[in-house]
Amino acid sequence: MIRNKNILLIAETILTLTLVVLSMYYVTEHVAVLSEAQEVSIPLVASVGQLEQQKTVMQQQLDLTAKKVMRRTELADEQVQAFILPSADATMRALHVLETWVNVNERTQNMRVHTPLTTKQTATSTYVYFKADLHSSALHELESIIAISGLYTVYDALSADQRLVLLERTEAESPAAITEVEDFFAVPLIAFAVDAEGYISAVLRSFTGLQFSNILASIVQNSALQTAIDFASSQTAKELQELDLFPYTFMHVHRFSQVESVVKDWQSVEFTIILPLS
Amino acid sequence: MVHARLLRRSLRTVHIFSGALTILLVVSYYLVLPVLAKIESNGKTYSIQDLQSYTAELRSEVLQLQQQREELLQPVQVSEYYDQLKTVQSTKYVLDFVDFLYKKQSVFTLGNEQLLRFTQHTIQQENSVYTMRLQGEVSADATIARRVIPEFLSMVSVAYPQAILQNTHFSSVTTEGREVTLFTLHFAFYHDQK
Repeated sequence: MIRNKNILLIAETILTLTLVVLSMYYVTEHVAVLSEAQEVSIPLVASVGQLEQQKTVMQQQLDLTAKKVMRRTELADEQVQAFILPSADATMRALHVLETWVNVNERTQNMRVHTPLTTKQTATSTYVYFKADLHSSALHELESIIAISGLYTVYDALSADQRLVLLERTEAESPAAITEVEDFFAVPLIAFAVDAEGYISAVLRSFTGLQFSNILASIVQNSALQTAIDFASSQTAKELQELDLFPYTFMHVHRFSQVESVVKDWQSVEFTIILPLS
Repeated sequence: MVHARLLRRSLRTVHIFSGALTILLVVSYYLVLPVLAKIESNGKTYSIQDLQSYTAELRSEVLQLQQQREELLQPVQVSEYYDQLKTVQSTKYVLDFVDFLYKKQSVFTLGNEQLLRFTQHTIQQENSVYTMRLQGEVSADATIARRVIPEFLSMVSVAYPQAILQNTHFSSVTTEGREVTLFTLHFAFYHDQK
């Protein structure tokens, strides 16, 4: 009997210890669940609120922009198909652009030609070869011409990240201004380059804060828009405008070699540019 | 025997208490806690898992809306145009890189003298890759050149991480009694870089 009582005592002890361990386990689980609820849920609730608001704003913006799309894109598509997409006509325009650049800079003595513009045709492309000593200003013009080749609008001159930053600012500051931003994106690059201040002021009219303005200024400065603005004030750009040679097709650099001259601000340049035919 | 009886009585108390506590905690964990841990947002209640799923769903919807908006804002709707544009953007990236290099060479000076000078570069495009060979000199002995060039390369890699340095070559010459370190750097760029 004493032995049975001892066995019972041991069993009860084990059971008690098990219950104590179980209760400690469930206490720690309670603490874990409640602290997770606090640590995870509070930021999540904030995110949900922000995302729901962003979703509502963007849906409104989509409704606003959808109304103007058809009208706006028809003209842009025509221009791109006629002048920019690879074709024999587009190639001729691009060659004319390069010839104008050579003529202007020879005339202003910013260039000494060693090998004039020489073309070689293949089934898919035209290769343009040229060699000359160039003053920095002539070289800078050439680089600008290549950098903005094929670009038609302000939209095309910005990277996807830059556009997203502007649109996120629009969502935050003035969602209805999406139509003004849409118009800004659709401005032909050459028009923007000639009157950048005017177009920027027009879009800023819909924003009261300084943040959008500062961001836009920074983006303009760090994109092909600034290249276009700087180029627009050059003599070559003015003559290209008179000849109505904008927009022009893509110019892909195949080879570009530059050797610094002993004469300050001069370099010897040799390049081969590809003008795609298809 | 007295000890055993005392032990048995104490144990029984602890046993009843821990049993009751465990039952209460189990009931609380499965029935009460899920209700307490629910979160309310915009008039609806969610568990943490539901809230996490809902957040992921909202993020995905916002991304889709961003893409739709981007497509609507595109002034040109000809897809072939944007394919060609990517190549031009790569060219511009390389030209901007060259511009950056030539501007940065004047950063490295000793007294009034410019230490780093680029003399020549060649850009070449083959298949989908642009490569550039850049030649220059450091107007100083190898000890200084070994500091200047890594510092310059570090500046380049921060500003243009997509310009991959593939090869380097250095040599020293003495010109008019001064040691000059000549270098050639080979970079590669890829068309899908921003």
